Amino acid sequence: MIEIKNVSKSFRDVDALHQISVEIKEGEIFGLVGTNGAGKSTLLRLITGVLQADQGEVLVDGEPVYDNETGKQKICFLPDSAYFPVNATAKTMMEDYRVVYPEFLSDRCQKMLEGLGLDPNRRIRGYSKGMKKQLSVILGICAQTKYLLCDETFDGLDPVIRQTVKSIFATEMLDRDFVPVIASHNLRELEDICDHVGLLHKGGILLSESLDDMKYSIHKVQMVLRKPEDEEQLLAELDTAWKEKRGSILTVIARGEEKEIMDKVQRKDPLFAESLPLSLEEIFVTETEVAGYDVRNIIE
Amino acid sequence: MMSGISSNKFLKMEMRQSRWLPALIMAAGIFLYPIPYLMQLTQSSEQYRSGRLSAAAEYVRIKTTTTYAVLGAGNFIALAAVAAAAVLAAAVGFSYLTSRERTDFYHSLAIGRRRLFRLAYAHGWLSAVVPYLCCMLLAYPLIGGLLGTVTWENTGVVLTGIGSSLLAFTAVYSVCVLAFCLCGRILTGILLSGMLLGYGPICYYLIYVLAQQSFQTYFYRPGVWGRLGLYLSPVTAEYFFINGLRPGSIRSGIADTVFESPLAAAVLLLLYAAAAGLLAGRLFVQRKSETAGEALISRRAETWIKVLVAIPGGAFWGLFLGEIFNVNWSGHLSGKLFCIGFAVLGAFLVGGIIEFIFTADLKNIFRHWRSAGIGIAGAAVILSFFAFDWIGYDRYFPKQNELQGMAVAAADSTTAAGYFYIYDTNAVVEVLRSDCDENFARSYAMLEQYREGRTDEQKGITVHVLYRLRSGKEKYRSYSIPADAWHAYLLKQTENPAEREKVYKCSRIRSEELEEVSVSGWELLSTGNDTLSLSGKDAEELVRVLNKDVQRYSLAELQDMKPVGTLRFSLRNEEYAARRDGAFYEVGTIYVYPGYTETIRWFTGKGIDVIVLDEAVETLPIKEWNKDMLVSMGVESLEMYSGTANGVFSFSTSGKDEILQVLQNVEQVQEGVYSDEETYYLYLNYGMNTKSAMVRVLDAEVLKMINEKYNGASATGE
Repeated sequence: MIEIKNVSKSFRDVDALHQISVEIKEGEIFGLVGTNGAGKSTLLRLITGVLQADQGEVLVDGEPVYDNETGKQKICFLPDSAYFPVNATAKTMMEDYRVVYPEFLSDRCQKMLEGLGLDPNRRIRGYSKGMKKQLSVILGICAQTKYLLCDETFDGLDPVIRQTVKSIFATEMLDRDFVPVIASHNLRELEDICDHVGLLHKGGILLSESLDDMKYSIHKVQMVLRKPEDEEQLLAELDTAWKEKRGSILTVIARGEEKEIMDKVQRKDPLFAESLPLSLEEIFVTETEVAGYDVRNIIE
Repeated sequence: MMSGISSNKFLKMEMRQSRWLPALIMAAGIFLYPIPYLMQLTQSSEQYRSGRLSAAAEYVRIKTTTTYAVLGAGNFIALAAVAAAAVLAAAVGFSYLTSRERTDFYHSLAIGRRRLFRLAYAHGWLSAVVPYLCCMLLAYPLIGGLLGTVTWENTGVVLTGIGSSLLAFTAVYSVCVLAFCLCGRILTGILLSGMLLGYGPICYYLIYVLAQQSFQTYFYRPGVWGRLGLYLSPVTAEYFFINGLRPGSIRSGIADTVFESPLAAAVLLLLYAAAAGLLAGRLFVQRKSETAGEALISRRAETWIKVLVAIPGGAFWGLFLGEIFNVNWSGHLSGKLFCIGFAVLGAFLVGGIIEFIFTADLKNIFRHWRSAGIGIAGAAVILSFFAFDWIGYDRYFPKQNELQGMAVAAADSTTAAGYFYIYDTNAVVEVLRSDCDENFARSYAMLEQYREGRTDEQKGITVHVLYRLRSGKEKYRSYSIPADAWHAYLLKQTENPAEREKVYKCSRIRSEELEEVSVSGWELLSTGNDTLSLSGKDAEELVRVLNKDVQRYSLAELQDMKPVGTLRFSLRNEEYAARRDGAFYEVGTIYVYPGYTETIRWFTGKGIDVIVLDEAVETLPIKEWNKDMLVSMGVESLEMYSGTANGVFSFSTSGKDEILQVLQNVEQVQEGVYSDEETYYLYLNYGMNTKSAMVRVLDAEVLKMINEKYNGASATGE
């Protein structure tokens, strides 16, 4: 388990993270989503031990990770912009990774490279961005570390490769102790793969829940009420995160159990009411709007 | 449990990724060591085979000398290569700190910071040292073996060279590593390396120049103070160290290889290596990863660097622009203020340049106004400190009752007794004591009269003074004394026979330092050689008789006499010769007068006859001169410099017959008085080139003869 306890980190005059606490448990894929500049990369680097927290502590399986060889042995970090030496090839990278990750599986890496059509003898600087990402993921998986931290790794991968990587992650989790942590803007991708999602905004955690719980605890309801006063009463009764009225159709995103919300709506004897599926993106936008990050204001 | 990362494998991985550096150093090293070694040995081998080398022993000596000069500590070109290699190696070993991607990679690995530092340090060090050692192996056992230079003696020389180079390299490299640990960009790392390596000596030299230009009584003391600047940087300490590793004499056997070892410099280099390495390691461990790509690792470091560079930079600009605009800042108030103004401007500009290097934004010099202000104020303070003599250095003049003693000596020490080419400022001897030397009061009065600072007038002779105070302290000063006043002072100083020993420089020649003496001014009829090598008893005896003779006369008496010859002394003083920092290898000339009977007798005993001039000879008309007179008058040469009319001739001859031939057809004229007529003048130099006479050619035919016979150079028409 990765424990982040009251961690704060600032860079010169900028507070990147403020009093963040989150747990990344074993047996689940953790998704880290956040707005631009929320602190996702910073948090990943803190977990990896690249950065040192100004306050708080970061523990990996109970051990502090910063400047701790034992703690870091369990982690492989795939940054958004990976480092490849000049004139490196996939083959030389395999050799290097064998050195820095002693458990590295060269044969498996070779097979995966062949499977993806990557020439191991070709210079990496000739690869496209997507190919570099593919290589990075393959190397990370073959490093055989317990935790694999991916910073926007899926961005730049084509849909087929994305699916392949997701399958590999799933297989790895079945075969061994493997905990991927994925930071991304791509909420749809996270929705497909992650079990647990942490939502970062302006250096703080807005929410950290399992996906199921998240979807379980917030719902979108579309309705048409007979009387205007019913609408006001209903909005007061519900824990409303967001609402929108178009004509007579009222759409509300409210927190709580679905049954409870629908009961309250039905009590107002609506002409029409139904619960609509809520995507992770909608949950994200709703929560961040509440936190003051109004996308519409930015667009307008 | 997962296994850790192997340090050896990690190091190999790193070196594999930076193979270009060892390749570059190997290529450069081949041109520094094996190739020159091969070329020079081949050349001397050919000389020996062709018979141009006189003996096998000389050939062996040359091989050893070559080994020292190329592979040993005598290869001074390698000093520059050491510094360059150190900067490159540090850049390669620690370059990842300048890249965010690479920092993410390395700092995410399961390697502790301390171990990572050691590996990075080793990476850079080995990248330079391994190719260097390969070059030495190629040069000495291989090439040297083929050409027969491998001996115990030469092995000692080579091992000394390797050891000294490695020590010097490690010291400079550690300082460069420190610089890169402070920086987050390659450019600032290289610049900071240069700054750390050169800052101390440059600031020291700047203060020396400021003191020299500002303080008219400034006395530069060689020795420890002179070497202080060298100690302030591993590069200069390296030069000092390697310069001192010179074989005094090279004999067979490693143990017999004699070299002067400046232990202080070696210890200093070790200290640099250790201190810089430890500090760098500490900084590396504490350094934040997010500083990759930043100019320096902290704002505080940026501020310090800005201030530390702007202050001397501004002071330098103040001096430099003062020189460019010919501002005399050592005298007038306006000049001083101008230079201080230039310094302020210079500090502002230097600060701006640094700001641009750090942030690429010149406006930050106004945002960071505190550091800019400190830099500007510092430069102004430094210059005004010297310009206005805050501590009263120039104004210092001790009270007579404060002095226990005093030594006074001129840099230009030409007197009728003789002169020395360079004055040994480090060997100022206490010659005057306030309680028992009657010359003391006279000296004090003279100095008090001329104690003011420099004015625009050129006053004459620089006189060095040592004040020995009753408190036990010593102070050194220099004064500018008019030449006439100084010579009048010297004349007075030698009136008392008991004081003459303290005035005449020859009295301070130590016989054990005498290496050789050459004589001139008279024909050496018996030995045919004008140089005597002296040692032991001979040197001691000569110094004794010479001092006895010299101290019989006052300077006023000597001035009225005409010397019969000169003695030129070469002194064996290795310490002075080795230091080259202001304490010089003293070489002097003593005039020998007819009254130096014991000295003349001593030379006669050595087979050198001294012909004492008859003064009446000097008054003879030139046409009546003969060859003997040319000899006795010490005629050195006859020169013609120019003509007054068409054609410019020039010639010079020292042949006695030719001189006589010309002199038969000239008349002596008053020197400096030229006729308006078409006339040619010649200068007759005699009296060991201390005197000259002007003669006028009377006859056109003689002139033609001179032109045809002697004028081998240009005879150009106007």
